[in-house]
Amino acid sequence: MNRLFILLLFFLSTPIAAQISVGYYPIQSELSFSTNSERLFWGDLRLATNTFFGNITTEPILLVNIRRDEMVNYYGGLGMNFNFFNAASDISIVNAYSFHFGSRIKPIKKINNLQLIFEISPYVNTEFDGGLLRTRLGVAYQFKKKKRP
Amino acid sequence: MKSLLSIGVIGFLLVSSCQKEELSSCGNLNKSLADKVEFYCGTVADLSQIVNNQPYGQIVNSQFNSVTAENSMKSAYLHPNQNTYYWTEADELADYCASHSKRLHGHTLIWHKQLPDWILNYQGSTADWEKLLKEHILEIVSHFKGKVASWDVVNEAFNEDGTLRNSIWKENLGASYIEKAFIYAREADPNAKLFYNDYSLAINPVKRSAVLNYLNHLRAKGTPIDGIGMQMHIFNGFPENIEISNTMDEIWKNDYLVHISELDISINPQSQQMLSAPDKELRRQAEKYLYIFKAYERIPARYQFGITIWGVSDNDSWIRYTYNRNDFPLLFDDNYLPKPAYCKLISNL
Repeated sequence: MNRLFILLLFFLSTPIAAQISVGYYPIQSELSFSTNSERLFWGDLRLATNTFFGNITTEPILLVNIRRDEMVNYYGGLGMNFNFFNAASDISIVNAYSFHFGSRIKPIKKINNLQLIFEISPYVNTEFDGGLLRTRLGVAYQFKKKKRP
Repeated sequence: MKSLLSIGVIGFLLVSSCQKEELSSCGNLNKSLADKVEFYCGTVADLSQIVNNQPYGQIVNSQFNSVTAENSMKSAYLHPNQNTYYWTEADELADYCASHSKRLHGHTLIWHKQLPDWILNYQGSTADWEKLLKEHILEIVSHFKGKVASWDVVNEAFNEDGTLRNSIWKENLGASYIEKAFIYAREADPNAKLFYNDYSLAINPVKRSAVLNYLNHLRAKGTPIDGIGMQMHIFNGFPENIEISNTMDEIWKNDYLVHISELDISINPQSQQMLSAPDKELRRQAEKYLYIFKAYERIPARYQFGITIWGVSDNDSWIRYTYNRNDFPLLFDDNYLPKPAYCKLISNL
């Protein structure tokens, strides 16, 4: 319960605004909701989909853009992987820690809201004796506030 | 500032996740594990142990409703000479299962290990080998028709890289031995469920994909393959829980029964000096067992063949004598007392 409260605090503290981006990683069946990925610091929330509710994992990530260009942003970040449904079974909800290194490529200059994502995200369990080297390929759309005339 | 706060929150979460929780304990066997779930819950067992080792027998009797023969149905035991079959021990196990209302799973018809010398040294043409394969399977499966509910027809035919293992069967019959084995098994007992059984399916996506592709290819040709056994000799640290549930999903979504066929969870993969099981590792093991049972509960009932634990007590585990390391992979300790994993299952299923 303590952890849930702290997690809630985490989300409240991230700069969630209207300028969110929504992404999808089709191979991994993951859905992503990010704060403005053009900012120096941004947050991302990954949800595993296409599985039973009890198997759904949630991964909040804090990211920093290491380099921001017109066509591509390079980022790194830290996250945690949870299965909140584990709580109902008296199993620890924290699965692992995750590390993220990736790029958000804006291939079409006129539609730079559209981004292709390539990411490497190693994942280690909480005892640091097991994990995964994950790769992610996805697509995202960055919603932006309309500029007033 | 907010971002810094976020980092702090993550750090706090890291620390809080390390908080120690109490180990649960339960002292008796009044409840049955098999009664706690809607699917078959079994163990690998040895009849002489059931008969001669009272606490072992009591656990098998009270906790499980399915039994896999640990050794007595392997080729080296059942078919020791070309024209000799040794049925006694396996028959007695079948009788025990029938009289105690337990499902009997046959393990295993075609494997590259625990073969009798006569097969290892057999010299013959491809046709001779095919005759050998056919007679071996027809004889055994026919003998147990109506007594054995299911068979691991082919065991461990794939390498870790997804290629077919160069076993004595493949050397002499080519890859077609797999298909033929299933066809002969179905011919001998049309009602028995037929399984392909292997390890590393959850931890190795390359192997998993190769196995599924190959079995799908065979089934498209009409080969009677009913299910896949995920052996699941695993560790506290790996594979990740999500990989386990994803693998179960992948198997049933390909329309195969899922059998967690040889489950044990090792806590000492590095073969460290470990005189007793550390509390922390027992806690992790208990959670991993429970996660597997819970994930298995979620798959559609028509694809649930059951979960089989590979041994009764830690003292009986194959890991200790095979790898010569002290380990504690099962639900009951060396004194046949329930471990935290058993208690966790009983209280949360």
